[in-house]
Amino acid sequence: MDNLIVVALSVLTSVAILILISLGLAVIFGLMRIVNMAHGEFVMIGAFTVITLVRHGGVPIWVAIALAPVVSALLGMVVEVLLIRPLYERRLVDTLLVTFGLSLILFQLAVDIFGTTSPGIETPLGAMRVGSYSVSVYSAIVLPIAALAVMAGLYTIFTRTKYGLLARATAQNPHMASALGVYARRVNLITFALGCALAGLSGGLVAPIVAVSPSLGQSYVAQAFMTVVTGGPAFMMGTVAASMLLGSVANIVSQVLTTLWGITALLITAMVLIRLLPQGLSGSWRRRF
Amino acid sequence: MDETTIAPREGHGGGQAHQTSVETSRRNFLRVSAAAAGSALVGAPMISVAASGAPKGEIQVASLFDQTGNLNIYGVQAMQASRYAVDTINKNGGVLGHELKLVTYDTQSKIELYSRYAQEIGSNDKIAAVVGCFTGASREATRPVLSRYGKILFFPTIDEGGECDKFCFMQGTDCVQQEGPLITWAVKNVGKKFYVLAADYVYGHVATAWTKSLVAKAGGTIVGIEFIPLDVSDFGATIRKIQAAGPAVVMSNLVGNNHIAFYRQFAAAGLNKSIRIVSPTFGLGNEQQVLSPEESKGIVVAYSYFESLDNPENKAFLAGFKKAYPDSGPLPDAPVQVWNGWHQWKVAVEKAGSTATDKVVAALESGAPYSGPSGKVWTDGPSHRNVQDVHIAKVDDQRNYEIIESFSQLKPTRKVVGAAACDLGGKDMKSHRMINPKF
Repeated sequence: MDNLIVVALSVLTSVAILILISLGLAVIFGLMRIVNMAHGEFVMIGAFTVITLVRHGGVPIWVAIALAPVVSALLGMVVEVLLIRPLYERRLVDTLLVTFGLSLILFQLAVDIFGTTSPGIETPLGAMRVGSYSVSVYSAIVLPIAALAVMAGLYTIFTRTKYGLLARATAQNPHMASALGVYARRVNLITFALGCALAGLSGGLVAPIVAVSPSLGQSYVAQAFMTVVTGGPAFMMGTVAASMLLGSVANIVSQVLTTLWGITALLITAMVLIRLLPQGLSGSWRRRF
Repeated sequence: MDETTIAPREGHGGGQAHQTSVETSRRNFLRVSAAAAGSALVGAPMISVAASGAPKGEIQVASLFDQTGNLNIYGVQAMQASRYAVDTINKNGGVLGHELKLVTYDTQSKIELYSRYAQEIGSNDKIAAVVGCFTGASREATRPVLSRYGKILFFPTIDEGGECDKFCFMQGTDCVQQEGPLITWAVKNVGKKFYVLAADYVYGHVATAWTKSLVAKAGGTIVGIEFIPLDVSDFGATIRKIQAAGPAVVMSNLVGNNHIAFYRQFAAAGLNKSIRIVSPTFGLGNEQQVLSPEESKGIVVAYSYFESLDNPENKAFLAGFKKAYPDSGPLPDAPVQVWNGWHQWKVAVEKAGSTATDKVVAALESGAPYSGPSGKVWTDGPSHRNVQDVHIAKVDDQRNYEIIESFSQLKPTRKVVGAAACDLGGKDMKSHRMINPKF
């Protein structure tokens, strides 16, 4: 029994991490049709924000995690104005190149500022006992709750706020939205900043359970891309559904066999899904976010 | 440490390697320098040993390390140690009465620069010896080129074995020299049940093969083995499995930045209080600096050098080094092996009375002991690896190493896992090969 609970908690953690690291990418791709190749670097910036604030600013870790999305969102706004905005009319390929270049620059900047092995912060809250097992409270409880909170927050933004409505309208038909008086520039700016904020928040949340280095984002970004693609057109709920499926498969197979097979199973599941449902998991849903 | 890249022709498992190795060097050579290929492809590898036995004027020697890029966390200190060693030798009268001149190359963490600079060093008749390279991959880009030109290479890092080249000397400890003492100590002081975690590439597999045989020999049992891909940083499933298996000791053959997360998540789950981690790799990537003192406390490692070694040579070495490079940070194993490399070369040159490669190799193989900061070191002739002291140390609550047991003059292994043994004794000067381990 305790064995099953521990497996379930571990699955929950894997799913939560996948949801957190994918949503930022999904928002920007779903609403703006921009593939943000620098997504991983925004995750990394969030993580370094937390570490720097905690280690050098003496800021409590929870405050630092709350500030991580602010920092990455501000940077995201600058990037949007300087690099993304001039390329709106030629979205996919040009923005892909620009954000890829940006990711190289941000990575090297991080190496120059923080070095390749910088001191991290330990996981807060310690361990709790589950039967004969002992698990980290932060991984098993805090991360899943954070993922739930982020989902609820995003859902509220897209269903209950004016920005949410306008953003969805702009995504569906930008020219019509503009004709009806939606100031697309501002909507896009907010959307890009929101995506970067989500990336930064996920970085801040995983910072205490990994070794943060400039390559942190790169180790997550492939999984994030796969989740978003598997999720399909309903960028938010589709991504959540894909995270649940892929995260569970990877973790459960890792538990039964080995970590290597866990990753293999994740890749195979994604491939089969895309083969059977080329539009992604949410391809046939009526919901579009 | 890192994966080795140059594989001799397929299906060659052992003794018949001479021709293959020529092919290997040639292929590599072609790749690195198309321009010089014309002259060099004529016939067998040309072994241009330093022209005359007795050098005139200064003797040139070279080092290649990453001064910039990703891997400069290792390379900067290694180069400092190299400069410091050459300066110290010069202050003490040089080699055979000649001053040394160190030619340095910044390889920028790029493998292709290793090949290119090896080519430059190789075609420079004045350079007598090289101490350099850090990862296995960088060594295998450099070694075949240098061997072809008859240059001696001292490689400072710990590694999994398999390299078997008449002109190459492996300074770092091998798997057996590290894991033997760790397992002996753990069985005696902690418990007999081991769980093995290893990075899923050549080093992790070879190290784990040794772990299995050494644990069995020490009377322990292995309750689980897991290979972790290098890009994994979520260890939730692994940590549950470790608890289900209930070992007394976790042997960590993990490598790289992502895997540091294991130690953090292991501590976060509270397991560091009940299960002991022993590791031949912890500390190589400054893991104890990345982790908090709470997380790294109690982890047990084995290396041939620690700053806290109590001998007069080490005190003098450290005082001089810290004076020359006050901001260098704590010194791990490899920079000291760089220092040892230059000094072992000096001892051998003086024994041979010449810098000619064949004579120096013969002198090294006959055992040319040098006593330095890490105690007495000398070359085991057949394997070209160092016989040396190995110490077991525990990370204390200040991130320092506290030495708990020392093993004197441990011999390296000549065996390569799943393949033939390396035996360079009596081989002619053309034996340059890489024996690929099989598992």
